[in-house]
Amino acid sequence: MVSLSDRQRFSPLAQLFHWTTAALIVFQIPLAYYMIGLPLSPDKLASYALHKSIGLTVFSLTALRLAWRWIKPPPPRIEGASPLQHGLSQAVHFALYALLFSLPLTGWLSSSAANFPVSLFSLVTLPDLVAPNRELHDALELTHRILAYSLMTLIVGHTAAACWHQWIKRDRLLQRMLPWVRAERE
Amino acid sequence: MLLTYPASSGAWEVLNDASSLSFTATQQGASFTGRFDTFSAEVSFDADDPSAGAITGIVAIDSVDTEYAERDDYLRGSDWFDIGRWPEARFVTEEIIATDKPGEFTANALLTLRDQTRPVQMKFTFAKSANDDTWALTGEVALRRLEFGVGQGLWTNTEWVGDAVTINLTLVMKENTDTPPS
Ligand code: HEM
Ligand code: HEM
Repeated sequence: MVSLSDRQRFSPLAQLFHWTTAALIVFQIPLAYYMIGLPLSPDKLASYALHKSIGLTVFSLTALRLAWRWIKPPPPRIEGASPLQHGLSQAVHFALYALLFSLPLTGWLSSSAANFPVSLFSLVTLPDLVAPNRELHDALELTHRILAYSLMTLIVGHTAAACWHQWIKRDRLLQRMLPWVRAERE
Repeated sequence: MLLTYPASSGAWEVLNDASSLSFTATQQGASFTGRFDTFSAEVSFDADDPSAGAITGIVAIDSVDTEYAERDDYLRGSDWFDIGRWPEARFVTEEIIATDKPGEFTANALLTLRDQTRPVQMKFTFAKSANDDTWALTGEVALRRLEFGVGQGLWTNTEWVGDAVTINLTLVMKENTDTPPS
């Protein structure tokens, strides 16, 4: 048998978006817990600045990624998936995209509400989205945290599902998102 | 709250509520603004004879407000302003000179922050309000916080909290007349 045809795979650019984002998120979340644990110091500010810059990068990548997804839609659904499975995976992917937008946005909003400036890698200063406001800041900080928990939960599920496809169901779903394609060994 | 000084000839009455003292500093690679809510100023100034004028101000550092209480507390602490030891900042002009542009002046002044007194320059404009009979003195001072010891220890590092700070002052004033306005 031959490997998956290109029609059945995500385009190289879509894959690049996916794995770059995944790598950034896998770095971003431990960084967040590291930075909030630091005592107030220049290092703490440096870590916050990095967290903000990475988060904003994710935001921009996601915008580009969805634009690309519209230009080049994902491959048709995999054979053998039940409508329920398909629906669930669609729902999870939709929620992941929503979180990749709402996490950076709530972070940016909460920084503005605390009168903390936001810059992208010290290169560009972003505008303050809202006027300083303590109650609003506290609410946004909590929202950011809850969204982060949701993202972590979904990523665990998403990764578990990928593993299930790979090793239990063995339907080569993972190869749709991988830049290399293994020849069939059946 | 502003303290008002007794009337003296050629002097101005500074209007508390309309005046403001703010600063712009940088952190995490971007700028943010804070202010001091409590300060008093004494102004005697005649635009036709600037060199005879004088501006003095006292700032209660405790009144620092950056819209984030934890940061304000930290600024009051020993690494920054250390208000337990130095609760006030003082500004006293030594000489005021007219510039080439009408209504614009330069004041050479001494600024005391913490235990440091250093010369600073304030560029300011002096203009009558279009709407009422008040006048506004709008000035800007650029300084380096580390010259005054603001930021000790680790905070002498300027990568994440910049050295340059700009102070913006707006004094809204009424001419002091001998007859009380009633
Ligand atoms: C860590 C953060 C991750 C995020 C935010 C993320 C996000 C997403 C999103 C939004 C999609 C939907 C693509 C689309 O249809 O437009 C997707 C697809 C996919 N992801 Fe992830 N992902 C992450 C990690 C992973 C990991 C660790 C794996 C594998 C172990 C993985 C495997 C896949 C696969 C195989 C697909 C394609 C599913 C299909 O063929 O329909 N992802 N991912
Ligand atoms: C993909 C993007 C992002 C992810 C996954 C993320 C994740 C997290 C996590 C897990 C935390 C710790 C939550 C907690 O307090 O328990 C956190 C905190 C924080 N994040 Fe983000 N974040 C993202 C983007 C941003 C952005 C863009 C900003 C600002 C521009 C931001 C600002 C903050 C701030 C200020 C905190 C500290 C809150 C605190 O002190 O409790 N985040 N983030």
